Amino acid sequence: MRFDEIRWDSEEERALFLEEAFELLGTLEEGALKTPPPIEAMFRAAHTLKGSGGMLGLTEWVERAHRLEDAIDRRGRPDWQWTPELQQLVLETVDALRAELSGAPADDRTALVRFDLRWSASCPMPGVRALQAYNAVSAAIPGTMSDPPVDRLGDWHGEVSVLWVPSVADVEEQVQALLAVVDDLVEVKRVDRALEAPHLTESPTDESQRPDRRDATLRISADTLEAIMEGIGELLLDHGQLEHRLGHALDSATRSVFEHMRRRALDLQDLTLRARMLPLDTLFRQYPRAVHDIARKLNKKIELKTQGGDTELDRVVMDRLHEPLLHLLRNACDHGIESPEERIQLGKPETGTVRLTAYAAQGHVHIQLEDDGRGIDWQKLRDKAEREGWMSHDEAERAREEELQDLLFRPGVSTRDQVTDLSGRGVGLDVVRAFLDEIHGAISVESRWGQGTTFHIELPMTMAIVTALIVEAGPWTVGFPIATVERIESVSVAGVKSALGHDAVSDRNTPLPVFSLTELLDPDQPHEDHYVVRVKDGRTQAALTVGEVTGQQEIVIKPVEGLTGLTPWLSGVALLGDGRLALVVDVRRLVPVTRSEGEALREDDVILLGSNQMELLVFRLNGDQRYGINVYKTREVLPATTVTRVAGQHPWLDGVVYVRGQALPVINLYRALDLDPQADSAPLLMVAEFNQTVQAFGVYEVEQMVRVGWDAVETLPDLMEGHNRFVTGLINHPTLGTIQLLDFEALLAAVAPPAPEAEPQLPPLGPEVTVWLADDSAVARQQVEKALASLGVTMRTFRDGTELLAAVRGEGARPDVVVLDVEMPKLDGYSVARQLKESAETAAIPIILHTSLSGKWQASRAQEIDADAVITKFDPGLLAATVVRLVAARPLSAVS
Amino acid sequence: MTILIADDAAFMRMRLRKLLEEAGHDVIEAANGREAVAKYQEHRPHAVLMDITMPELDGVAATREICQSDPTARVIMVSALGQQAMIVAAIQAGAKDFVVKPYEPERILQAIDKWARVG
Repeated sequence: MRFDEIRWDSEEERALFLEEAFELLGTLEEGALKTPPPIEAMFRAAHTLKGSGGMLGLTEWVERAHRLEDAIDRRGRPDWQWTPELQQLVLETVDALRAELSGAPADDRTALVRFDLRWSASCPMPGVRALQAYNAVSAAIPGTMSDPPVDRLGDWHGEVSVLWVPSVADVEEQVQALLAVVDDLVEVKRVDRALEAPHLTESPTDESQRPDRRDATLRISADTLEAIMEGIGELLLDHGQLEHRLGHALDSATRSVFEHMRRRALDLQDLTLRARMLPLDTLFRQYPRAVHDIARKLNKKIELKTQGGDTELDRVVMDRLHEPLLHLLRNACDHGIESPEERIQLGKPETGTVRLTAYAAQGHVHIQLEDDGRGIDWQKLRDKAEREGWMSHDEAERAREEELQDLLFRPGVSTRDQVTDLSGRGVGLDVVRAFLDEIHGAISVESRWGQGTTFHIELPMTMAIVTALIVEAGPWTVGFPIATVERIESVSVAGVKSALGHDAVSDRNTPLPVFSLTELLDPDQPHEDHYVVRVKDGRTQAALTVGEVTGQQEIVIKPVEGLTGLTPWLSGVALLGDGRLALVVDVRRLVPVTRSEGEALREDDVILLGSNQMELLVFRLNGDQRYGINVYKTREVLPATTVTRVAGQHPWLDGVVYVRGQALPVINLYRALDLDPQADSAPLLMVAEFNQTVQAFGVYEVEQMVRVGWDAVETLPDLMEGHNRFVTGLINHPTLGTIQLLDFEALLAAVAPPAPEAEPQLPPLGPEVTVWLADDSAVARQQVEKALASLGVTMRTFRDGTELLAAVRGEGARPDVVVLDVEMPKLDGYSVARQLKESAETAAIPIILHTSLSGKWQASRAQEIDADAVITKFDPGLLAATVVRLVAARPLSAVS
Repeated sequence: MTILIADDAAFMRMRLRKLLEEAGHDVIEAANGREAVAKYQEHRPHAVLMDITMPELDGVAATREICQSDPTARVIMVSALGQQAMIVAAIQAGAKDFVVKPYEPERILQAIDKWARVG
């Protein structure tokens, strides 16, 4: 006889059997996955299962349970051992018995009624709530069972728990009424075949007699939520357009209605977002068994360790994360972890470890999948890259691992050539990446041959909720991800002292630099600081003084498009409960790198001085040609808005736009670059700040930010100078193709030539004074020459830093002053300055860094590199005066 | 209604008292579990707001004693997130509900109203 054929004497009897069986099966399954397994308890469980089944006459059941009991009975068997085969037997038996039990309740609707209890995603302890629910129902209706079983509810975390309730009269009304007192219960749903029978035919009871349904909710499918989300997004866009179209015509009352509308829409967006969050455990819980099964198939020993399952993630993302993650797990087991024999030979523990870690940081959810297996054979990958013609022999041999890892994600690439039925030939990493691209996530891999591989997945911040410490700094409200906050104390308690020429507090007896948060954001902002917040993120550690500490809050971080370049420390903004907007900071990028932290220079997340790198915002104007602008020059990217034409304007100007109360000239790149004039259709406006002015450019599409080394920038052949006078360099990017670097300063000079200034009244220095200038922009070189002409000095110009360095080194010449542009192909100004200052022979040469990048960030960075002066382009008077000052201040020995 | 607040922190009792009195309830206070049991027997309040960590007798033990003597007692645990196992124990000992600290005042009042309606 099988379970579903039993005729039960009473509901109670059946309920009791089911509850006990579920519990015992749980004991067996959990035990089998533990090391060492609790054999005694498991044996008793198998024994009891056999006994109860026997009482009911369940033949197959008893046979299975008996086989299991026998296999794990170690009484009188001194040589008995727990083996993987036994483990498998236990798990298979559990599956089989569960299968026999399942389906049964559904087949027999009169016996037990199933209620699905859906718990609020924000419910702090769903397990305890479920226990409360079970207590409430079972006290009134004996025989009620819980799945998961009662003794496991305490630490259960999940979204839906199940109650099996004996089908007494009016069971649904009773259960609903009993559960009305339980909090966080989103929905109680009866699940049975009778569900389709229209409940409407029942005569509706008097409304007043119904249990309070304030907490009751409807089940909403993920698709519907998604649609709501999209709808709100569109509403916000429409709102923006309307406001833009009506623009200045709005009176203040209408404007406030508009503002209210926008607020409500943002609130709704937040709410909807929250409704979609689930702890990652929902996903992680499925993997131990999966890894076990995979390992068995591969005859390997693998242990899966998970951590951080309470990190919450958007359920839409989670649904789509499952397959890729499972794929990576399979890959790790199949390609990563070696066979036990191989591992022993290598001196590794026989059992391989796969570690799945999740955490939220910087508004992102990070998932790390780490194995201690054989790692990636980079050499093999180099060979493959060459064979496939992706790289030349030299490129392949020279390529750094970061460059090679890109290849791993190409279709059809595997680091292992064996074919197995589990993961195929490494097919799938391209799929994994494609998925992550779709949701704006990222994946990277680190691997040491022979030691293991770590995949690092970063999922987007918009989907994640972060707890943040909210503080006030001057006029700003700022949020720190709570994970980066170490301690908060009042200024008077912290004991700020001066150490190494800088304010510092004592941190375990070493000085920790103190910065004022307000000053970091804007040095000119008046402020009064009362608290010290100690922050730590990776190796970056500092104490920040702030005005007030408001408290902790859960926030949804929204990225700010286009701002990340100018303000790399801003991970996004968050709308606080009271309607204020908080800036959420990335501590690593906020805290200035202090001189003593030499090792921080290796931190590759931040572009550092002398790293000879820049971050490029890549955009298109028409066709496939890509153009780049240093993100430090960009301020934001906006949808195109109405441009007001100005009489008598330069033909390359479109007119003026108003952005945040500021009138900005709009330069038409299409006309300037002689491209197909699509000016009117350019859908985006890129606002850029350089040479101390702010201007906008219409562009077709802003694609992405890429980090490139200045050494990858090629200068143009001489022949091209006249033609492409607005292009300073070319980058051959591995995935984006050729990117043209535009000479924005030349463009600006062409449209708005610097106003002729009064000749500076400076004493001429004479031709014996030599000034060397490196600048990649011909226009800039001309401007500087002109500015210094009145000094009568001998000028020598170079098109990039390497040429200048070569001249200094090769000729042994010692210029009296060197003027360096910051952004130059091959070697940027910082790096040239560093190399000059590091060599004893050239250290005494005064250096002026001439930068078009505005703002205090650049200035403070330049100072760290020992430039003698930093001048923001373009101020001829200041430049000439600085040359004069530096020549006068030369140490005597350096005078030629 | 008469509500018994059992919490060893005077500040917490003060906050809760203010909240409850503004909502029109009468409040009795107990500073530890032992006192809570005694005050319960003496006053038979409509509901008890019970902290978990208290001197003399902790909230779980106090709940157990109260619920053994009066199975209809409406004990609502007020506890921090980390105390899951304790809350489970309290629920099994007869507590009817729990509110997680830090709580919104609304949650406390709702919980009390809810249990008032039920019984």
